[in-house]
Amino acid sequence: MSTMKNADIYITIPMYNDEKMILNVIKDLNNAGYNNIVVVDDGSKDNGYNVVKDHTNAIVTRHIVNRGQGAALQTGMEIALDRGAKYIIHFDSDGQHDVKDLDKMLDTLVKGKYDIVLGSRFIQENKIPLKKKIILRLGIFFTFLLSQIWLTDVHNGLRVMTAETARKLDLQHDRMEHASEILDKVKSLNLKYKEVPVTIHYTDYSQAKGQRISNSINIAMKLISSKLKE
Amino acid sequence: MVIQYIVTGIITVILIQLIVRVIKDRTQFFKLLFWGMFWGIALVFIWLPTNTIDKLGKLFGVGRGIDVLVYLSIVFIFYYIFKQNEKVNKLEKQITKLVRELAKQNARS
Repeated sequence: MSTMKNADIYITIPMYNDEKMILNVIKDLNNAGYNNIVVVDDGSKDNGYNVVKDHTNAIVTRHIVNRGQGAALQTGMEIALDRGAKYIIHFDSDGQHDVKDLDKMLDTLVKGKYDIVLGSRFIQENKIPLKKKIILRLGIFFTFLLSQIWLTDVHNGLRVMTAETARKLDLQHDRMEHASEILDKVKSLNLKYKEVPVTIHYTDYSQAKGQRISNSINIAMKLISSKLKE
Repeated sequence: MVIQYIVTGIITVILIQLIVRVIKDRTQFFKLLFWGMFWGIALVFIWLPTNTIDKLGKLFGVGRGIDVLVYLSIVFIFYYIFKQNEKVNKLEKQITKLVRELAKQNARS
């Protein structure tokens, strides 16, 4: 992070029922020197919002009703942009992502003058459960069909981008389709992108919260219908 | 046919509900007009003699007149679902906008 000021970097964390993990996630980020953290509680049923408000120095807000991860990310990005962010990071609230990957991603973004740097769990060896692996591979193929962009990992929530990119993305898909929407826009807006290997921590906790196969089908259907409308 | 009486009964209940609603809230008059006409036409078709409806069928090149009505109903229902779907999507977008605005105003650090 020697190449930039920490004050310019904002981390957006959409949070849904992650009361148990969120404090650790924020603590890790703080310890690594990241202090601009925007947590958007997406209408959680647990006490996560108050936990963050009372025990951290993060900027915190909440969606009074659940609107989905895409919507929460967009809210977080808008708050970060309003406060003068120069770089924006998407980070998960469930402890899947590793803070150690951020320096490397930011470095790549700045030195390579990229618009967006995407985390990929397939470039390096990660212990990915087989069922998950199959779904993710299908997602890669599906994304290629829809957006003509071939990546090694299409549903990785760890992303680092410039403020300009965040402004351009302007997410319209509220729910999980936002991940594909981002890639679609990377292609259609001609953004300069790079994939960087990252570590994903597959714990029982994150597995229980993860996407189900049936939901992947749902996401695919929504994306096809929005493509048809274009 | 028994079915004619059953359907007539159901439509009558629907019409009564519509009228009661308009009596309570006169601004819904045009809704009554539209749905009243819709169900009225349905009633006419139900009580038309079979051979009259079958003439309609021949006109459209479909064997039985009732088939024409069923086909038309399905087209209408699909169109209606499509329209409702669009409305729901629009509402979802508006809700997100509203929720986001509130969240941004209430952000605290």
